[in-house]
Amino acid sequence: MDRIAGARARLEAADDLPAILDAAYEAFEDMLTVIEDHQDPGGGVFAAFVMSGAAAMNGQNAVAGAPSLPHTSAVRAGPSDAGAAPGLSGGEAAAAVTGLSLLLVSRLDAAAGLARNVADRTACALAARHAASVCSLLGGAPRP
Amino acid sequence: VTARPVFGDFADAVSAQLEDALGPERPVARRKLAAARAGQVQEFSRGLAGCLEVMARYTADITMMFDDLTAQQRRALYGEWAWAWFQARHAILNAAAFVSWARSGTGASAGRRARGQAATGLDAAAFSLTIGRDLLQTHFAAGPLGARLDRSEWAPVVTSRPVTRALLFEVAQWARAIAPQGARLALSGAPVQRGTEQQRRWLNAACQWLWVIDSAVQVAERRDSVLTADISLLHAIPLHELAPRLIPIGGEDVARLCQGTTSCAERVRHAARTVGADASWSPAFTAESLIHSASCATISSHNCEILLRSLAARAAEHGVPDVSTRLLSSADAAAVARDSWLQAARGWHRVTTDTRGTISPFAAETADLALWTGRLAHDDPQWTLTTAPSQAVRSPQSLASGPGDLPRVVAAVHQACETLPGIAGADSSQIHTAARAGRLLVPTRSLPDTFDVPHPFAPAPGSRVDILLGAYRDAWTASTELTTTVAAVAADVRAPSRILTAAREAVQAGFVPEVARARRRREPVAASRPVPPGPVERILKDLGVRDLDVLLRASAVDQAGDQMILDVAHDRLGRYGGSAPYRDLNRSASAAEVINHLLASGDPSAVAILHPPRPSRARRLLRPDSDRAAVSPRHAERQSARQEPEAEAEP
Repeated sequence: MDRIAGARARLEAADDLPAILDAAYEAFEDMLTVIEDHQDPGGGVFAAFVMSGAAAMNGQNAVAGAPSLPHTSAVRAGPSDAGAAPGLSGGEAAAAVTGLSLLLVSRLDAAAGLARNVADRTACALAARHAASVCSLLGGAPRP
Repeated sequence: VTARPVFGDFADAVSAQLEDALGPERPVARRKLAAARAGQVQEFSRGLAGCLEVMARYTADITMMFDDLTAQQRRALYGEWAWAWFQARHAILNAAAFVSWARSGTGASAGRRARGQAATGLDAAAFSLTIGRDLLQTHFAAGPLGARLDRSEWAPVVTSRPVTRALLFEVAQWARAIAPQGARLALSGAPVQRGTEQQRRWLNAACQWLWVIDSAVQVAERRDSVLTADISLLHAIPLHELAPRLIPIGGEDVARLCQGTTSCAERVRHAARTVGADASWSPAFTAESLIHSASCATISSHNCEILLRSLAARAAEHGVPDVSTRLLSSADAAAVARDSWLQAARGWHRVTTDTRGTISPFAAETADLALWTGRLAHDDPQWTLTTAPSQAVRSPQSLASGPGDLPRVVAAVHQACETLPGIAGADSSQIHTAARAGRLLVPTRSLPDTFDVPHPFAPAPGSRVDILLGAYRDAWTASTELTTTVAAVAADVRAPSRILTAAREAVQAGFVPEVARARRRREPVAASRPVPPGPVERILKDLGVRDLDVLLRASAVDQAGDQMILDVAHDRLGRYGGSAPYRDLNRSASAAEVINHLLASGDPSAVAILHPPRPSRARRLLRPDSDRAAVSPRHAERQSARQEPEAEAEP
């Protein structure tokens, strides 16, 4: 399974706040790996991939600020042998990352609803904003 | 570079206005000639006082730089020019003292408003001088305790050694333009109105001190020439006025996009000068801002690479293969810079700051630059940083349709590239400051399990900070290399942005030996210093003699006379010191004319005729680190007394 598909599966399976945050943190990490693999100056969408890489890093840092994020990852216990996004073209990678970022927006919004702690809610909202930004930069839905 | 006013606009105006400072001669009835001439002297003196007031401010601005330097540092940095600045300041203040007396007058016309056109040029020049100085001062702000603070990237250029020398050179040229006109008026053969002889004598004394300014500069110039390029740089200093922040709306033509890129680049460089100091506490310092600016610098470098490759193709089509090759080398340098910036942006992976969620104004400006350069590089007029629009590159033909368009686009790219080292320096400085203040953090999850931190974030380990700073250092190095290669192309194609390179060299000339050495090979300025004819030559010309041999002999007689006077003056100075009766030398119009000729020849030793203080006093007065280098009113008064005639003589 490639990283994006794995991240999607973990996000969809997460059912409580710490699990969603844990999956979101790792999803941003996986997304960043794919984005960096496609930051090709000759690819025609270089600027979009560079800016979305920045947004993904910011999203991950935002999730890291949530107090309910587990200190150790439950979803990545061992080294992953999954490929980043094997054989994907720039357009396909952009589509895959856009899909993941849309899922992140929806799951982080849900997590914000579950959160009782203000800091958790703020972190979720901020991370969702960065995920939406990734989506917008790579040609998905407009930035909220 | 832009349509902003530059210092040269006003310097050129001053030179033109001083060409004929006396204004047109008006016909006056013979019986009113004496009164008219007295009025002219008074009016010229008034106009000259205005010019001297501003010239004194120019020299004060320059000498202000010496406040924090020891005499040794001053000598090491400025050499003969330090002496020239203080002598010039001294001479201007002496001239101002004489001219103030000439203005007020002692005779029948004293206190009466003068009429005529004798100071039209001087009044206009004083106005232009004032505006020119104000323009230079826009690059500074007043700091605590009267300190002068830089407020633009041009401020260090204004205070650089080459530019300050060029400025004094200009002041000397202006003084030299005024002196013969004032002296001619003071020593004219027109009838003298009763009681105004002294006014004319004082005006002539003031003009003699104007020649002293020029001879002081000539001495410094012989040791360390002013370069033509320095004068050009001084003239190119613009008014400090940042264009408002603008975003391209789409549909701009190449010329407008070049202008927008230039304005935006200037804004980014200005912003880069102001960020960094508050990174230890400011909530505006966020990881988002630094990631954003590094990412935008990556894209700007990438856009510059695209533009440089397009320009190389166009230059080849225009039949300039050398330029094409250099543009390709610059494009390669841009690619290296882009990769370095990308690594700097990636260096923020799992590093953040204690405040988050905002983008600083500086980071937003860097995004504007990425957008302007992107619109210039790409074909789609609605190009943005997203994948949505077409990413097709603008054709070389569309970028520079004619050979004349090449410099304009090169200038825009050069301006954009010049911002990149500034961004790297500013952000690196912020990171360094924030790290020392403990504001750089890493997610606890990113640390090994051996770290037991009960918080979401922990202070960034030194090794992570070093890696981040190393990435920015690489970005700075690559950006500097890119800027150097593009600057060379800008010089080749005579792009307007080449002034940026001259400005940087001027600032570096004081402390980078390689730059100083390279400057010595440049072309020195050719000063126009025509020496007016001496009394013998003038009389022969008045007699209608045109024979060159005769006039050359007359000139030689004048020079021999000058030399004899100087020898005697120095001999008497050596024998009597400060008590030598030099006041005799200026007592008649004919003697004054000889002295004027001596001073106009630029012989620095001629100053001794005007300034024969006792040796101890001379040392005190002329010592550059002494406040007394500026003449005191009492000294000027004594100086005047020395130059007062013992018997009334026709000026």
